Amino acid sequence: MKMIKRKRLISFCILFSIFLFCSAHVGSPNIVFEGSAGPYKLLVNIQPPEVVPGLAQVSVRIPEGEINEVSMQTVYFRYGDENAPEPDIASQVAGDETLFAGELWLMSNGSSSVKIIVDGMQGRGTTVIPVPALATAQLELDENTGVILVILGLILFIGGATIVGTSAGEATLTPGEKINKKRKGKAIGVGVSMLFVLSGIIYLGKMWWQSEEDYYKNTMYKPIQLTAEVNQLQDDQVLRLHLGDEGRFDRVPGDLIPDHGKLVHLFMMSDGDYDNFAHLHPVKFDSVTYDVKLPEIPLGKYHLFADIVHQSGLNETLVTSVDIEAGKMETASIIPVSNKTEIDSIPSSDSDDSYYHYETPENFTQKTVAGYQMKWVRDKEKVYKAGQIESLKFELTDDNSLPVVLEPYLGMLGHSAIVKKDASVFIHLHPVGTISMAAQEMLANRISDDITLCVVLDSNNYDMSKLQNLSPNQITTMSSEILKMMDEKGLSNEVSFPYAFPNAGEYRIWVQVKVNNEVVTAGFDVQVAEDEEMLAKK
Amino acid sequence: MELTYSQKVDRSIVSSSVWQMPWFIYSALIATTSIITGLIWDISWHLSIGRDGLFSPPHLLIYLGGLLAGIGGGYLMIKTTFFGTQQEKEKAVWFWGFRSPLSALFLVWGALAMLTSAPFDDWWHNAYGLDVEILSPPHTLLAMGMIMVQLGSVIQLLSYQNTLKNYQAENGLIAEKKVKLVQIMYVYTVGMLTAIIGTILSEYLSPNHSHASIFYIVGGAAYPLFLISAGRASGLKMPITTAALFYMAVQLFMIWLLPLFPATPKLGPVVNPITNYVPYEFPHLLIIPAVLLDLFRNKFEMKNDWLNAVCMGAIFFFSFLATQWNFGAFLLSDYAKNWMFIGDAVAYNWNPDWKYRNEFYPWLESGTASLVKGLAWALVITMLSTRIGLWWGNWMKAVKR
Repeated sequence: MKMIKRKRLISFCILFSIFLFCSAHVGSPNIVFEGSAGPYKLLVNIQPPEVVPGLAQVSVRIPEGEINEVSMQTVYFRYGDENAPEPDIASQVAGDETLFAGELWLMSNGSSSVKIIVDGMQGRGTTVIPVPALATAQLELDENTGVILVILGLILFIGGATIVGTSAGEATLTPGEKINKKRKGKAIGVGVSMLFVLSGIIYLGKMWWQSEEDYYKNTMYKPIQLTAEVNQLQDDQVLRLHLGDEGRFDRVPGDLIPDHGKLVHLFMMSDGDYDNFAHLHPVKFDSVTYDVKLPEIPLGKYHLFADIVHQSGLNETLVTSVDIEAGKMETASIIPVSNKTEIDSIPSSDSDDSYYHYETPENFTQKTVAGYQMKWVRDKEKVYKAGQIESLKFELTDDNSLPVVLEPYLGMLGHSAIVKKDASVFIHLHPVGTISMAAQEMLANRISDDITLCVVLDSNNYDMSKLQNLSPNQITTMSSEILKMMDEKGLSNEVSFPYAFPNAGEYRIWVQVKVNNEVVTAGFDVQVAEDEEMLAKK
Repeated sequence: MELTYSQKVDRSIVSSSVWQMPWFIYSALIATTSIITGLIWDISWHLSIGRDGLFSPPHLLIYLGGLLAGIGGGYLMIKTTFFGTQQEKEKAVWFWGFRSPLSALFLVWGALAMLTSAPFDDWWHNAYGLDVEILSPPHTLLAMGMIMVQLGSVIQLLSYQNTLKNYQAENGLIAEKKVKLVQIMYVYTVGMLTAIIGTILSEYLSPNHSHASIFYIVGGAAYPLFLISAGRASGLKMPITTAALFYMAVQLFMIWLLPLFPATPKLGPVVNPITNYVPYEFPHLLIIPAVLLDLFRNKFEMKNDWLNAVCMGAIFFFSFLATQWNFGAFLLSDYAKNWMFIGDAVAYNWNPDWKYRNEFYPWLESGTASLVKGLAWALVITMLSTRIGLWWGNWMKAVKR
């Protein structure tokens, strides 16, 4: 009875009314993950469904190793893997031995994940990738399907009435007997009455349809309402964030867990030019209120994107904006923040907080603080296209163009924030991709298998002292020599982020790394084009 | 002896090879059987495996029914209109310029409705997600199509049965058994139709609903309409009983057969890790109201159908209430937790320890007053359904084309 087509109808005839701010990652629903499952390196791309229950499209690239089988399984935080269905075997993509693909059903809303199991010559390896199962869009009835349905519906409508009319007319006549006027009139009368009855049924059907649609809209994902206000306290300005108490989708008010040690990663970007950028970490005032001291940033309107992770592993980006004016308490809140709690102290500064004003890079290289130079390692002629997974690679050098080793910054080599210059897309990226490592850990806890988690950099696996302890005769000014030494000691001056731009347009890429315990920020612009080939295929 | 026109026509159909039944009669029987078995299998599939596709085996069985109906009905429409003999055309009805047997129109409409539901359902899943319920707007269109196909089969057999009556009149005892077989086949189609109606409405007719008035409102509105009309139109002595037997038999066959086959859930959460097909629901004991209704028909039927409706409606209501009230309780008890009564059947995504699993859903009624009021409504609705059934039965008895 259930008629499920595996793939969507031809997408060009589909009109989406996408709620841009309704995906857990603002306007960027696709999940890209670069990591490992046991001994195997993976690059995973997951396209979550826009409706729930719906199908997630999963592709797994394993560039090295002899692989026997790749399988995948949907695991919900709520139910764990003991209640998950059996894994599905991914099929190897024809003509590409390293690529495996498949589909998985996400049956209910909430914090979910895809467990990947790789079986090969080096044994078995598993990992888990958080995939929020959230209904974020509603499909409008496309014109072609609509026309077909209306034509068929009309045939059924008039045909049904005719059949009933005929049943009351000729059907009970002796064969061969001609229908008389009276009976014909009766047949027509019954047929016309049936038209009214059918119209009534259609009307009731329409009401039912509407109630189903209302129900669906009610089950659609709504991010937690974020409100912000700026308070002047002596010479400082304190930004207060207030989180609403929406509790569905595996969320409980005040259930945030730290991601890289911070409960909230707040990104601020000035409206219009997006040139002023701050990455701050508000601290908890109470379970739904977070405060942060603002750095000295230019006045004006700012877009705010707050990345949070719930206890269930559900990762959300909350969006709001705020006006910052000199010496004045100002609010840009949609809902006024409760006055119950006054701000009476300035939150202490976090050394991981940072502010940066954009400077136009030259030759894909931007000069940053203390003479450092951040370079976007890319082909000058390269055209970035929507939907294609790219490795966005950046390297840091000093004012002599010598490589500078990167320090772990919140457990990894760098962070990136990408924003489309109409604020319709925002993503907080890591070298492992779009996922939150805290979310991955929470979901891995619900799985009994030996899950390979993303590596958090610390002195055990990324020992900076190794380079600092060089003897005088090892010191060199040769760039290649320095790189070689870094490589030998497992250190790097490069950071890369896997990402697929969701659609065409102008984007700003912010990259942040840490050197000498200071955050170094650089910004790059990129124009992303539509992928004509992909469009043509669709 | 001069033959009447009707006899001429009928003789042309039944003449020398009367038992070479027209293929479309078989096709109608197969269509009706494959749709109901496909539907019951499909529900079991969703309770056991969960994930399906456009071409899952139960879907194919349902499509086969629709296809046979569409091809059979379409063939009869085209054959009668363009290649039919004068007699065939005169035994047909008008439909937008076509001459067609009435049953063919039902079959074609049903098949077209089933066909229309496919793109509608596909779009529905893309717009609102995969539905996990039996009744959604596109599924209702599909159900209407299936019901029309069943009705087409019923009318086809009815018409064939009525045609053979004259043959029996001429051939006496020799033909009696043969005619009886066709009469049973007609009642079989009614049984299948009743089963499909019961299955479609089953979300209100589970044992957990059986101590609430909604059960008797829905059951009382649906079952008498089909059973009593068939009782009126059939030539058998116990037609309602026979139809009820077929109704129960097809469902029992499926619920006892399916659990013999292994099944693994393909969707999560798997709250109940099953290893074999989970059967759907035990059929209602319609046999009891059916026997009483047949006895009434044979012994006490009156000329006034309003009085008949009141009496037969009351017989159905009270016997259905007494039976299902107690049988519902039995099905929820430990005595029913076996292969025969399938009381232990729990879908893969249902918690076997759910608080209300073996309870009458308490939220359905607010108290005794609400139950009594609801049951009073159910009685009235049952009588009305019975009256419509009688009227419809009279029409079916009179159908000659």
